[in-house]
Amino acid sequence: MQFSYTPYIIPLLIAGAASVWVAYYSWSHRGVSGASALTFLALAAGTWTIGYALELAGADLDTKVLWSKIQYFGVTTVPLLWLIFCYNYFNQNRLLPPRVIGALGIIPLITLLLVFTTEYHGLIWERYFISRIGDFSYLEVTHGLWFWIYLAYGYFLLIIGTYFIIRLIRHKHGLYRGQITALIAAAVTPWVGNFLYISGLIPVDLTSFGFTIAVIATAWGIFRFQLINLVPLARDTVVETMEIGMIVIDSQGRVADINRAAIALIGLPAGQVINKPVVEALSRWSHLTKKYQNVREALDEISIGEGEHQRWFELGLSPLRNDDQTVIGRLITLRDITVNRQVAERLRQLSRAVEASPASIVITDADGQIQYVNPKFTAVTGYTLPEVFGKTSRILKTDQTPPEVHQQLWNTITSGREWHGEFCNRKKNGELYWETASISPIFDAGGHIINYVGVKEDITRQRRMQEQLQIQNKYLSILHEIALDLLNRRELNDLLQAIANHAADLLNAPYGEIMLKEGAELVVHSFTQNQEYLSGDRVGRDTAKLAWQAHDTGQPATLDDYSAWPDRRTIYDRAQLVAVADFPVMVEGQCVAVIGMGRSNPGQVFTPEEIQTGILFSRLVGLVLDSVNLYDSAMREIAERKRTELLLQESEERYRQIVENANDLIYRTNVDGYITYVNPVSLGLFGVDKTDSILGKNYLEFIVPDWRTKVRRFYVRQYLNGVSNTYFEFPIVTPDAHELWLGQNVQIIREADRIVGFQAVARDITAIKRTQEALALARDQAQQASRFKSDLLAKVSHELRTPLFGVLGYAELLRDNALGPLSKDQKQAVETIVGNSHYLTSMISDLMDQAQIEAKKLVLQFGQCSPDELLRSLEEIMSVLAQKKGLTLRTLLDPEVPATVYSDAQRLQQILINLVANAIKFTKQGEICVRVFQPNATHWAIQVSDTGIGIPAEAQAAVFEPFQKVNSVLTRDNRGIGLGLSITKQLVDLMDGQIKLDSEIGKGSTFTVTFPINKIG
Amino acid sequence: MSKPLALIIEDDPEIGNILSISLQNEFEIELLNDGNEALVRLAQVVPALIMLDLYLPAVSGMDIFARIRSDPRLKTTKVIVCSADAIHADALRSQADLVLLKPISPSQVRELACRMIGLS
Repeated sequence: MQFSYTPYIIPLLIAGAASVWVAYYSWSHRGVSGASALTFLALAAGTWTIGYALELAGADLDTKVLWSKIQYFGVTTVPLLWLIFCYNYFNQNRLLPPRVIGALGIIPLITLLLVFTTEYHGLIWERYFISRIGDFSYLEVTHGLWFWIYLAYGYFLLIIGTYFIIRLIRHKHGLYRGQITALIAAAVTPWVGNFLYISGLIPVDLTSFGFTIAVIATAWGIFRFQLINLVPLARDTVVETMEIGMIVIDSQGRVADINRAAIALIGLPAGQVINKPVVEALSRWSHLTKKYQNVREALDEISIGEGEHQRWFELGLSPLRNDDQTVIGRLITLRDITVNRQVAERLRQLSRAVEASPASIVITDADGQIQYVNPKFTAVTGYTLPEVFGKTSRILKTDQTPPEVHQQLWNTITSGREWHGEFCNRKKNGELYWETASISPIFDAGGHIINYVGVKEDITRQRRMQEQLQIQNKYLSILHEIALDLLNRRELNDLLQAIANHAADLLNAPYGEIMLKEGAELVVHSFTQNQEYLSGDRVGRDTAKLAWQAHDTGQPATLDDYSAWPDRRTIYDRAQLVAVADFPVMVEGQCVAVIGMGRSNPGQVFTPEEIQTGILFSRLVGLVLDSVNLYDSAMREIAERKRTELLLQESEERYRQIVENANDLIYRTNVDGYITYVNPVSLGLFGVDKTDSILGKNYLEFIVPDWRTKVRRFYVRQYLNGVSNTYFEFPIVTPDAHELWLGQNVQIIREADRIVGFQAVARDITAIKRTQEALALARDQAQQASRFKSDLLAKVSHELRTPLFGVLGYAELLRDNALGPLSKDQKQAVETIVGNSHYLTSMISDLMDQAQIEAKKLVLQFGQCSPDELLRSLEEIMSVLAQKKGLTLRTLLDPEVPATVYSDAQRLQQILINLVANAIKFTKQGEICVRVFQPNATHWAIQVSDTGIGIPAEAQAAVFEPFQKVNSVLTRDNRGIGLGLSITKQLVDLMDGQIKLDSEIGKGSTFTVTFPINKIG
Repeated sequence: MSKPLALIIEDDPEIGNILSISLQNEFEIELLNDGNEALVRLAQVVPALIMLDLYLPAVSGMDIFARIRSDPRLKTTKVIVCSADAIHADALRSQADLVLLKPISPSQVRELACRMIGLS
């Protein structure tokens, strides 16, 4: 690399050094907008300038080419950096976005690459060589295509940057415009140099030099005039953002500067105002310009516009002087004081409002002493300002407001907070009133409390309404409750009771009652507890006039002093009712009930609101009673209950009378046998004065000791088996040591399926018992006598039979010639003896049988008997006897009769013999037929028929009676003592059989004996 | 061939006589007048027939009847109870071979007695 000195490089190097210095200076002030860009711009310009200087200094082609290429670091970046600087600086706080910088940097970058490779393509330099003018040699180039492209691009960037500068000049009016113009000049310099070079007017490229001059000029402009410093920024910021309109007028009366606020006021764009004469610019306000045309200094309030748009300004006019105190212009300031004026106006309005406020307003000092009250306060309290000035609010204080309210009030406001609350205060005339108050402290600028302001409102009405509301709420809740009651379908009495209680509660009337209409009467059904005396009260039209008035009119009937009412009912005297109200309960236009309310506090009359509530309530009650037809069912229920009660009363009464007057001993015991009740009869019976000596004792104590176990066991069994009713007889010993027999019915007393005791109805059966005992004794004696008779008979029979055997035995032996032959007469005599002996024997037998039967000593001996055998045996015994009378004895056995029957053969034979003997006895001719047959599946029968004289119908029933004999004529033919048929009948009965007689006079008789078959005894 | 032995146990001499006469043609008769005597004799002999009264001195007819029924030796012996007491007689009806209630025909007694022991 070879260099040769040439004087041209000196200014270039200086310019380059200046650029570097500017870069350094700018960098050290890089916080200022645009300063960073200026640093790079200066560096780029310096690179270009120095590069160019070294190119010029280069002695050979290679050196010149190298430095020429290095210049291009500057050449390619300067236009772009210029643009960035201009943009950043003139757009204040906005930087050119990196994205845009990147895009704009593409072409310079390509250019740079092409520069270093131009030998290969010639796009930048097609040819280059050294030209010399004297000892000054320079690189002469023929530029390639891309160079021109880039040149155009570079100019384009420069133009844009310059555009920002021009905008700045438009923008920066007034004092700084000159400096800006200088800047523009600086900016243009490189252009001129470049143009000269490109156009070939001079061989040296002065562009870089121009840039360096531009940079230095800029730097000088910036830093000398502090373009880049805070001052213009602050000035701009303050002036531009100022609310106060500011207009600078130069000495010629033209607008030199105007800020945004003033522009806004004038309503014209800044361009149409600046440099225009004030008179023209402010033509809208001609009256003002005229007024202040020659005024140098002023401070006035002016108004602009009218009506809603009217605005007020504080106009400031002051001269602008330069350093030597010559006036160079005037400064106009316009401060919008519209709001201030409005505030002041509002304050005036407020004070008027305070005066006219419908709320009481009190202002006190920090000690609470009243400084001001408004007229409403006077209207409410009756106190005027002079009366209360300097006093505290205590003059209004009452006991009604709890002390802690005041305490809390003071604690709140003295700590600087606002207090809200309610007081009950007293007016000047002593009347109480409720007011709500908002009390707030007022502070001075130092934050000290200087005043308190109280805004108070009379809320007596509201409170009353609130109370009304509470009553309404209560009414609603009662409605709810009653509706619930209704849903629960409580018993009518409960419902009515609830109504009475609710009514009393609702209307704050301690005395309440509800009367239902029953026929021509109003009947008290439920009442508040303090009116017990009303229980069962029934009133007709003449008695309870007020209630009936309500009933008849369908409207509430009220009195303010019941006690003084001539028609009052004395029943209420003890309650000392004062205010009363009777409300009719209407169902479908009919009054079905009356609700009566009463108060005993003097002066507490029913207010119209309360009456209204009462009407609502009774309407509700009406709905309740109606909606479920409860009223009807209530009436039915009442009637039913009344009837039941009556019946119950009657039956109770009857029962009581029965019990009290019964001859029977009636008592009750608990389940353990302890006596819980006895009727008065017991007193006489037990020989005691009071039931106390019986009550509480165990019933067993009265039982004769020997019987106790037995009796106890009996009733324990009744208890265990739950037998509802028993009868038992036992002896007792009374407290006065009498022994009595009781016949006792005992019923179990149950409660809910549980045995809780016994009720006994006992009768003194001592007399009956004695009779019974006597009877039993008599019976025993009779039985004994009977037994004795039987024994006697048996004895007699034995004692008769034995000798009779001697008579009969010897007589028969004689007759049969066992003791030797007899004469005919002797034989006749012996026959008679034999016959009579037989008669005697049979008579004794009958008597014996009868005796045995009567003594129940006859023992049947059952076994298997053959009817066939029975008949054959009968024939054997009886046919001889029949033949003797010339009669035929016929026996018949039906084949279906079983081969054997279960019976007593001996007695069967006796029955048959008796019947057959009887038949033979009363039959003169014909036959006796004995037949055994089976009349049905379960019975067999013996039938004995004869062809005898027959038995008359009227005598048939008696033939079976002992000692009966038809005709009762003892004839020789049919003698006997008449026991035969009676014994037969008795035997048949004993054997579970039946005997039947069919007979017709002259035709004969048929006896039929029927026995059950197979009866195994 | 000797006649079968019949014991007549009867305290009444007349009745004993009547019964003896009634049966004498067919039976060898022994008449016993009281219970003790009867028991002694019954221990010695085995009669074909016993005519037994119930009312006896010393030992009653009932006791004698019980002794007879309990003695195996006498199991072939037929017993006819012959009493004037219908009640007691009835009581033995099922146990005795025959019960006859006094008075009774001598001819019937003979006939029944013969039939009982298989004599014609």
